[in-house]
Amino acid sequence: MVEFKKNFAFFLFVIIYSSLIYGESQIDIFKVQKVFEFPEIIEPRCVAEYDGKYYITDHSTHRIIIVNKERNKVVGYIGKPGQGAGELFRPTYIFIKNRKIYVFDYAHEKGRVQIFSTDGKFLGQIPLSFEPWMGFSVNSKGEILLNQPQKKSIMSVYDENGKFIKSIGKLKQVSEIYGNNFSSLNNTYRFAVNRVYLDVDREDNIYSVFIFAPIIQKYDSNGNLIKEVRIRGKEMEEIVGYFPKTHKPTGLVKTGIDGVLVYYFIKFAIIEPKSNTLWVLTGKDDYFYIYNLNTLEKIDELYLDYSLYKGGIFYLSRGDGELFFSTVLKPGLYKLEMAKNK
Amino acid sequence: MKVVKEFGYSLKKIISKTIIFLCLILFFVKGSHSTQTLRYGQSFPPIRGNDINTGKEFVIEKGKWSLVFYTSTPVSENLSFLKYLDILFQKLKFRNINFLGIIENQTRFYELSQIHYPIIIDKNFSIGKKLKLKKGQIASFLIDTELKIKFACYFPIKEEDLRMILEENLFGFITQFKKPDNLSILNKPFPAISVKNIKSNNTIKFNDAIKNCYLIVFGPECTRCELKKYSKSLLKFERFLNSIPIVVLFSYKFSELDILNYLKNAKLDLFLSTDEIHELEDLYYSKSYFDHEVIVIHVENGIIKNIIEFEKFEKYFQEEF
Repeated sequence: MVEFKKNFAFFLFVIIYSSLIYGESQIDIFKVQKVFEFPEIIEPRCVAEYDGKYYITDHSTHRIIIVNKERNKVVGYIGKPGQGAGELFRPTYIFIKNRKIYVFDYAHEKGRVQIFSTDGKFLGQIPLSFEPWMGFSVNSKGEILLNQPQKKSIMSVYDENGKFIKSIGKLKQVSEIYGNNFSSLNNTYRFAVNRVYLDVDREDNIYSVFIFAPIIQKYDSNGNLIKEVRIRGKEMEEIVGYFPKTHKPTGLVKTGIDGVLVYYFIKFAIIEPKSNTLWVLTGKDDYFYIYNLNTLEKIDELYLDYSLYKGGIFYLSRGDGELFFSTVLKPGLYKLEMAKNK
Repeated sequence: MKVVKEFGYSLKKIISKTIIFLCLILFFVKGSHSTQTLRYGQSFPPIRGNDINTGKEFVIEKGKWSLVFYTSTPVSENLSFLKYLDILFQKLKFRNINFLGIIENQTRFYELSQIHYPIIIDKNFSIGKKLKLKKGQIASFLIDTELKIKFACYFPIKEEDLRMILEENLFGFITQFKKPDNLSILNKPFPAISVKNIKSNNTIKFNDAIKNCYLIVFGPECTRCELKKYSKSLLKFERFLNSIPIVVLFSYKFSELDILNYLKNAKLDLFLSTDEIHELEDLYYSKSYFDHEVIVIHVENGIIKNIIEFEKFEKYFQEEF
């Protein structure tokens, strides 16, 4: 009888624990908080954190704004509007590695990567011949990863002087993803279908999340493909039905890239630093799919209620232990926080 | 004979070498030009043309900064960009800077005639080619006194962006960066902005001329569609004009012709801003008023007393009168 009670208690514990992790209560487990509401920050895009300071790119004032975390106060700026060395025009993605800031800006038609020291000194720039669009990341060695399908691979890796090091990832064809019925579109969508978000984990493994296809890839630090999974979920199945434009999509955002018009299947993908999981923001109703970094298994889903923020979520970025998202149309920067009761 | 043969041989050799040389030059020149756009630090190509308003020839010359905006057709957004540059031009005309608008197709002549800096037409797209544009493309350039490009952009940018780039390069600082507090303009004097009375064509300083009114503001976020939507409501206010002074102010982004088209029979005073209206524009980006396209500002003795959205103002009128 005692054994039965023990087993029953254990069984009950497993049920409750599982329901906490995988239950239907995802809507309530995260808090959304608007942050950095300073008059100096007008159109924030992405955040990086270093030594107790946040470095925030601002699309409107064309500079990096430095906020002291503890004092919650703007303490400095990097860059000024322009296209010269050290000047910025529409800066977006930002990473800090080895005390160096890597920022992507749209100074020229194809964009460029600029490098600053954390105290704001200009260190160098890499003008790009092919726009990486949303695929930009930096690994622990300071190597820059750019999604440039025009260079016949998913990503190109450069050193911080702009010297090309290697290519990673084989390009996919539309027919490979969506079936032979679409083979006539292989050429038209040859670049667009290979547009990806890129992120790098602590071991320099690379995660490549396709924007117009339901695919996640994981590469090791040497660029070998370790795993590839198909993104599955109710929202994703519906979205995939919109390729190329077979139905009129509801709620998806349309964009023009590489000479074609497409809808964002995935709006962003990033590694969440606290739980060390990969967060994929689907193009439909701001649903997040959350993946285990090791297995690339989907472990959770999260729906963000529209009433918690204004505008449309478009950029995800992270501090040392926090995840941020910025909104467009009604610009703002928000922090996603796990509620204490989880 | 030998001489002739040798001469003939060398002539052939010279011609063939020249042809190869020319081909190589053409290949490289053509190749690099057709794929590259103009960039920061490069020399700006010489361009010239005649101003459509004065007929005078305009040439970009050394010794002056120049701001050049190219557009294929001055449709609403591009036209408002040209008008914004006119506001900048009026402010900076004594600052050693040229402004130039280049338009591929001449339309909207009335609005273009209101612009004070030179506008030239590029009918055969020859200037567009020199500036490495594709047909239908928009571009903005800032050129320094040595004709070096300080800014070149081949996609539409915000007016604010161009102002900031210009100010940073010319003065080394930017006049407006901070987002003002939405409530900071309450109980403060109405800003000194220049406005044009659309009916009388007179330009006045609004704060000097009008001290007490309900000012209906169509800000920069409004479009022609909003004007159509609101025009009926605006006309309803006319019968109260004797007791309550109501005036309408449109952002410079509105076309004068569009306003007259929708409100030609209106008895209300209609003003078009010929100035930036930062303080008012920023209300649209602030929390309280962001969702409202049109706002009403109550001005009493030249002081801003209250700001409400148009819909509330309209409701108030329906209930009170």
